[in-house]
Amino acid sequence: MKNSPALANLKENIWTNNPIFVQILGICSTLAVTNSMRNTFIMTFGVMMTTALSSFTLSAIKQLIPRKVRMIVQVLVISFYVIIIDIILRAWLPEVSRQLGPYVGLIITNCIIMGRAEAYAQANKPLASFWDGLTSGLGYMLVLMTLAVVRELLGFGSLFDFRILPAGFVSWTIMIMAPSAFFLVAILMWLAKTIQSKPARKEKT
Amino acid sequence: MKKDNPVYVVIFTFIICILFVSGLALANDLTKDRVAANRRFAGQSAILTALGLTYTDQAEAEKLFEATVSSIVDEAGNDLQPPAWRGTQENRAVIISQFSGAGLWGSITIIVVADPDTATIRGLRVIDQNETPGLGGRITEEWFQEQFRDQPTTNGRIAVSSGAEGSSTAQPSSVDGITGATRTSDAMADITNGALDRIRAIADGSALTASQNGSKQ
Repeated sequence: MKNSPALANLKENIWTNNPIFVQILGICSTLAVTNSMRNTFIMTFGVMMTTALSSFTLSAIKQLIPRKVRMIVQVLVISFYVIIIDIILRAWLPEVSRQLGPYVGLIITNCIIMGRAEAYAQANKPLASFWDGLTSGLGYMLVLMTLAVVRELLGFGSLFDFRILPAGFVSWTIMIMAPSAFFLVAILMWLAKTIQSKPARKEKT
Repeated sequence: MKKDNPVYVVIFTFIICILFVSGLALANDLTKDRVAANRRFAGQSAILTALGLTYTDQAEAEKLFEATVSSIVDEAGNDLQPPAWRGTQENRAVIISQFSGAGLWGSITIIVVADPDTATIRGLRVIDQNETPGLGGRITEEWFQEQFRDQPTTNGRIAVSSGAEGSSTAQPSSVDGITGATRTSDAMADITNGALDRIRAIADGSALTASQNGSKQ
């Protein structure tokens, strides 16, 4: 892979065009799974792999796909990879599979995956699409992991299930429940947007 | 043939579906024994833990399970639904029953081990629940489940106190509920009492007639 376009793509997907901050995609799962770092990591890893592999596949067969059934084929390919991930978890990580429950299946409906298939994989080569999917997933993972650090630390007093805060710490129940993800996502977006808009302001003055 | 030709669209969709679905069928087939073994192990380990037995790996758990627990069948020879088992614990006969009931958000499924007369609960495990993580979800924590070990009942019933943790010590047939999760605590009392009723019905034989066991045609 050539360095400069790949790097530019990485920077775009992680920062300037981050799926959560900028595209505001995949918010449902952001609210649901981020109260535990372990579950968040596994789920976002699943999203990352699905986005990369489905973008790769869709890009590889893009010449053959009739426009009329384009979306049906996208959903088919995405579901295929998600079910494969679900099968792998059930066979080798049954405990994780049980904890994630329906969230693995719900990766199928994560808008980021279809968004990348539509916006990028349709018009680019397979390897570049793979990279684009992977980095988009990474951008998603980084934001969710940031949320999970705050929520698990304050909600359970632990990180990756290891107790960090002293036993006397009164955990913040709100951090475990979905509403906390709403305001944490909002705060993160606010911070990211503020930082992102700074250079632009300088240029104007 | 042009890509927008309806015949091409149909053939293409058909072929691509066949390809991907076959891939899934293959993956499912390759892992199905492993998945079934995992599921069996999850069930067995819950029962063994409820009995207070320890094991190091899946193979040992399977052996221990075969040696201590046997499935109860009704008069027609079918497994009870939900499943129940006879077992021994410290040379004492016990009855083990799986039981489900409504929790706050979804159904809660537990395994209860008790003496056949249900005077004492010998162990309890929560095997499936969808309660609020960090609140009702704490019923899966060790301290909560271990309260039921050798817990005496009053006329075959227990209560889960909804006050602060530690408030149950005054009443002998009561365990601590979870602060902030009154509804889940109440549900746990109902489900546990339901399981105890069932264990009594199994012990006196009334749950073993084929008509009582509604699972089969």
